[in-house]
Amino acid sequence: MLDPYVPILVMLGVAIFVAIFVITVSRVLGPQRPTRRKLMPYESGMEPIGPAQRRFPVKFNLVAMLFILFDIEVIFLFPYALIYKDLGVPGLIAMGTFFIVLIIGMIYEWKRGALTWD
Amino acid sequence: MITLPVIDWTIVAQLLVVFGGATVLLLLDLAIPAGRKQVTAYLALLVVLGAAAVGVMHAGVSGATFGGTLRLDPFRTAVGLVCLAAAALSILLAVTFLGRHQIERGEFAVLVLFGVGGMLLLVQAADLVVMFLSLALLSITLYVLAGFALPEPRSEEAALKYLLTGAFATGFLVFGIALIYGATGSTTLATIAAAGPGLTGEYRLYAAAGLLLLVVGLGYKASLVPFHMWTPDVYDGAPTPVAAFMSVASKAAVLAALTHVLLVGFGELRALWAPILAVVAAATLLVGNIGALVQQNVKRMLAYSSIGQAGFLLFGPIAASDRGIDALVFYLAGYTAANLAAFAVLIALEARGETEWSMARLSGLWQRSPGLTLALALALLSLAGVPPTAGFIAKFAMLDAVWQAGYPALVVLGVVTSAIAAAYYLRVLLRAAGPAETDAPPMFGDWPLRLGMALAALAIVVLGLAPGWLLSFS
Amino acid sequence: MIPTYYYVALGAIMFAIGVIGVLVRRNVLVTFMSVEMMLNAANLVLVAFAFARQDILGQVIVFFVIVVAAAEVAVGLALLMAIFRTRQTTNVDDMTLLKG
Repeated sequence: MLDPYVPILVMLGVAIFVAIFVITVSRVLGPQRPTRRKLMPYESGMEPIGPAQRRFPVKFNLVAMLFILFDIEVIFLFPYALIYKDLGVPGLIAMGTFFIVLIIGMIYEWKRGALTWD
Repeated sequence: MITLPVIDWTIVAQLLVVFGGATVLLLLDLAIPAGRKQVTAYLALLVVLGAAAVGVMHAGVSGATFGGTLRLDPFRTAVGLVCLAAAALSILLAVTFLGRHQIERGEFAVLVLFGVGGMLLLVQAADLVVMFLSLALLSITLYVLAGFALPEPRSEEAALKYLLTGAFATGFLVFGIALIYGATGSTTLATIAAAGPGLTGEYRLYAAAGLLLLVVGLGYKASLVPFHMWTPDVYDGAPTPVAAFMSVASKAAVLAALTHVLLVGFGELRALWAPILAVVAAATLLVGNIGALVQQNVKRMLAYSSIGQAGFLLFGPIAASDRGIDALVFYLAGYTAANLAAFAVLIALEARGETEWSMARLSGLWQRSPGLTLALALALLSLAGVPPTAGFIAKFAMLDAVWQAGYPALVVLGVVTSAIAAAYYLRVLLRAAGPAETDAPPMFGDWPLRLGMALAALAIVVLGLAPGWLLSFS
Repeated sequence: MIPTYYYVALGAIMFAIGVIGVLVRRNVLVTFMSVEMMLNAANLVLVAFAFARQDILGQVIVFFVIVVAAAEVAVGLALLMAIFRTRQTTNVDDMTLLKG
């Protein structure tokens, strides 16, 4: 019953083994002479400035939310892209209506000033 | 070549009017200056009236379109008209309220339009996916409307609580749909019903579990016990016109959808769901009415009373007969009129900043405004089911329907809880008739508010005195 | 081939974790994530059934579920921002203005 899982198990075992093996070998065999320059986050020599986790302006949240909404709506394009030829003109009209509604939403958020930063 | 399903425009005409109107109004509103947002509200009112006219025009139409996912029949038309009436009255009640509370934003009317569009779609849906989408549409608009008094903290809190419980309910609904799809291979109610008897083994289990999850999801939206906890908080915190709108219209739409799911999609499993639903109805009646008895806040009392009314509304699908369907439509109409009239009185007495609705604020109302007291009395007596109001006929029809269906225990419980309900409604009326206990709160009586209140009161009386035309439509 | 009810069982477990998460966790963001988990459990079940039945409908429903979830979360996050501005907290236990 569990036969289909055997290759996955083997694969998992091999992956873990290889990872551990490679890391150990390079640890044991490789030369280790750290210098200050080598230990810096960017070896190009740039000094890192400030913490890595910066605080974002709250306004970014609004833009991000609007982006997610419009981004997600686009998934309806994927099935349409696959069969648009079979759907012909009626399909074009249907998707056109869908996009007109989306564009009206976009005009609304634009005119209400949701897209201006300052 | 794939051919798209043929669209029957007479069936979708009403939806097109509402959604088209809402979309155009969203753009028009951008051009209306900030101080004159009442114009948007009146335009939205026109759209609602137009949609209602289309509904009346197509009163006798029966049929399906979009591959059987949308359906129209007299029951659906009638419930749709109740939702539209609720939306129209709510807009009338809200127009000046919003200005008074300095939350006059054009989005209000647009959101009400989208919400009522979602309700119409939910009522007309004959497919679980359409039900899910329309329920999401009406829920999301109601979340925003509940938080419309932003940055008022109570309104924000109400919106968040509503959103959290609503999203939770959506999870149940979707999982239920997934299981039903797995069991029957379809989401269209008629196909589910056809596949039902042939199910065996695990597939029968999936269908039953899916149905229960679906009922949980819808039960949250209709605030049935034990999924009612959010109701008092949300009605209390939301702006009063919004509480009025969602207490009646969304309940009507969800009850219609529940009836369709149970009777059309799962009529074959009636032996499973009828007892469960009867227990839920009994619990809803008891918890709602006993909860209302102890409230000191009028808005919370109305919220608990609306839970109690939801218990009565459940009698419709439980009876599962033409009589039950007729009674359901009549009950929805009468409840909508009475609840809107009661909330209208609160709106007339609510100045900006006075969000705590203690019962003492109604005291002495009779001396100051006999008109308001009369409207309140009519509304509460109808909710209690006192003749000759609409509520009496509605309750009588419902009790008759479940009696015929063989649930004498529910009839007894219905009568007992109605008596409890009469006690707390009368308590409010006695306070209103008695002497004033606090400083007289301000009163507002602009014409849209008066018109809305008068129409609701008129509906209570007309439905109470001449019920025949609505009571025997199917 | 893996039997369909394995997927259903996995979906049910995920769904239960989501439900427990909503009921137990008090941070609104975590609650949103738990709801998302419930919806994704449903999506998994839908896709599994669609595969078992060789039927496209289940996959189409998943699209709608994803879109609705995104819309709901967008409204929720907007609301959360507004609430955080007035109260500086996103804990459900601090929402105590409405009681009775």
